Amino acid sequence: MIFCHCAVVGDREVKQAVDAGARTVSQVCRSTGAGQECGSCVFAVRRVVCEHLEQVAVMAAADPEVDVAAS
Amino acid sequence: MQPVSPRVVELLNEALTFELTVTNTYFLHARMLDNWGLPKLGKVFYALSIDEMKDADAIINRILMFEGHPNLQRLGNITVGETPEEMLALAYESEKAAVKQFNGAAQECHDLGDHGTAAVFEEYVRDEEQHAEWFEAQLEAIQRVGVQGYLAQQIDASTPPGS
Ligand code: FES
Ligand SMILES: [Fe+2]
Ligand SMILES: [Fe+2]
Repeated sequence: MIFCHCAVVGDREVKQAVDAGARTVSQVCRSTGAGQECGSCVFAVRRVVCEHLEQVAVMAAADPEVDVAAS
Repeated sequence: MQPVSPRVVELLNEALTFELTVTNTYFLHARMLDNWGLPKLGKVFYALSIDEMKDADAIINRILMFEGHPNLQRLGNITVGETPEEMLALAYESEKAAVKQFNGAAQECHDLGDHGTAAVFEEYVRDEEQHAEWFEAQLEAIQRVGVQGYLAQQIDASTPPGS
């Protein structure tokens, strides 16, 4: 699903950025290029970042072997 | 003519934002599907885009009737599916969101005593329910016949280009 049309960025890229260590919307925007032009996608970016961080936290809680910070 | 409350124009503008957002989204989906060689599904998205545009048109007229200002600048986020299945799933979700939004707007209009605008919203609820139902059926068909089988039905190799 693409939601940043200026930089052509979607949920996949945003999740990858979070998995690579980005923890804030602005970090995700910087590394993916989303939200840097017209800015109209930032709420969509934020939604995916929040959802994905939550999922990562749930997975980490279920499996203590997985180190969130290192992933 | 003045609305019973300025809130009515706000509700109409919120509905307008929704209709304009799906008009654009479905239009892009239609052309992407054509480009992927799936013109039958493309045609459906095209027709729905026009339908949603007509909804937007009617809402604009109603806002003007109430001497309000229709906001054509505001759009919701345009979420573009990267596969046909994702397009159908996104459309299903957005139609369900429309049903919820318009039901709420109809209720608010009734509470404000504007039964005319409430009736307009109720009519839209039924439209969007039908749209949601159609998308749901497509997702069910994909469950049954598999995505390959479903997509094979969306090809149309019998129409020469340019016609
Ligand atoms: S849509 Fe993302 S910056 Fe314009
Ligand atoms: Fe509509
Ligand atoms: Fe619809």
